[in-house]
Amino acid sequence: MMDGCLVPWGMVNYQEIPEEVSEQGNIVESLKELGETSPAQVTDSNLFCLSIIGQIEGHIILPPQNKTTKYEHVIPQLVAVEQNNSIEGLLLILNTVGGDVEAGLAIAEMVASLSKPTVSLVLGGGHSIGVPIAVSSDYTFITETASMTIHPIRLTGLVIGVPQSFEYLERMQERVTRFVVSHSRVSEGVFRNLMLNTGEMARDIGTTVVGRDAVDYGLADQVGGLGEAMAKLQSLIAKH
Amino acid sequence: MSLLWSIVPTELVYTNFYEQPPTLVEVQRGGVTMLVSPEQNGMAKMERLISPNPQDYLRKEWQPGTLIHLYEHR
Repeated sequence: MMDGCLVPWGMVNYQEIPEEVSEQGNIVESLKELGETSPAQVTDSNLFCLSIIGQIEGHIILPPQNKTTKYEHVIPQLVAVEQNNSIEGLLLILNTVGGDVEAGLAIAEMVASLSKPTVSLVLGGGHSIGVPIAVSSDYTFITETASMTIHPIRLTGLVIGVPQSFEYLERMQERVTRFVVSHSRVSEGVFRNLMLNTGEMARDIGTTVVGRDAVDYGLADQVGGLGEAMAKLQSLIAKH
Repeated sequence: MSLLWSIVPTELVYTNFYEQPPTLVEVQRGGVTMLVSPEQNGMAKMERLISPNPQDYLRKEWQPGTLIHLYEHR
């Protein structure tokens, strides 16, 4: 290959690629084989970024049209974050439509009990079971346009005993409410009112809280985006 | 009991629920067990990792959805 000569991409002779490029052999390989660049190496950053997207999948595998976050992978990842000395903080990014109550609560409890600084950022939406996960971090950001839907838990499928089912749902709801109230600034009364509001949603009762309103209700700590969330996390790490 | 709490209507989430789920195969790689679903050309999509070492769950080549070779090269 001549210096300064333009060569079409397909004709690049890999043997002539300078040393520093061939050192990234894995990335080139991944690009060639899978058409994708490798994700950032965990060890290169002092932060671990965990994105909670789509449905939070619990004990039942959801059909493939659902985008899911698998709790059986996320939970040991959080253990690894706690254990790994090179990771100093956790950035939780949420864009979720909800999902399995117990899987969601499990993730929320893991994040809440992590000894390292945690910051969550709600982008797009953090609905239903996404709410306890959003508030489980030390500090919660919500973008101006993101929303959180707070609505009652419903039972689907076969219902045998109506009073028993009602009690079961009440208890489930109680677990979620208690978690949200104890990890955010929202009061139990306000949270219940949001959940049982009848004037907001067409298909359900409940409330959709957008950006600044989430901060006013005490569900999020601040309106902000990626820059603010990163800066807050770094400052929490510095104090830690 | 598994309880779904979501803004997506249940009928949308569970569409195709009774269709044949992917067959998962158990393979061993580097001392850990993983459940994979076989794809074309001897590749398999990683579905689930089973390891007692939490750090394994941070390895980028072992994230769910990653393609791995179904048969180990010897």
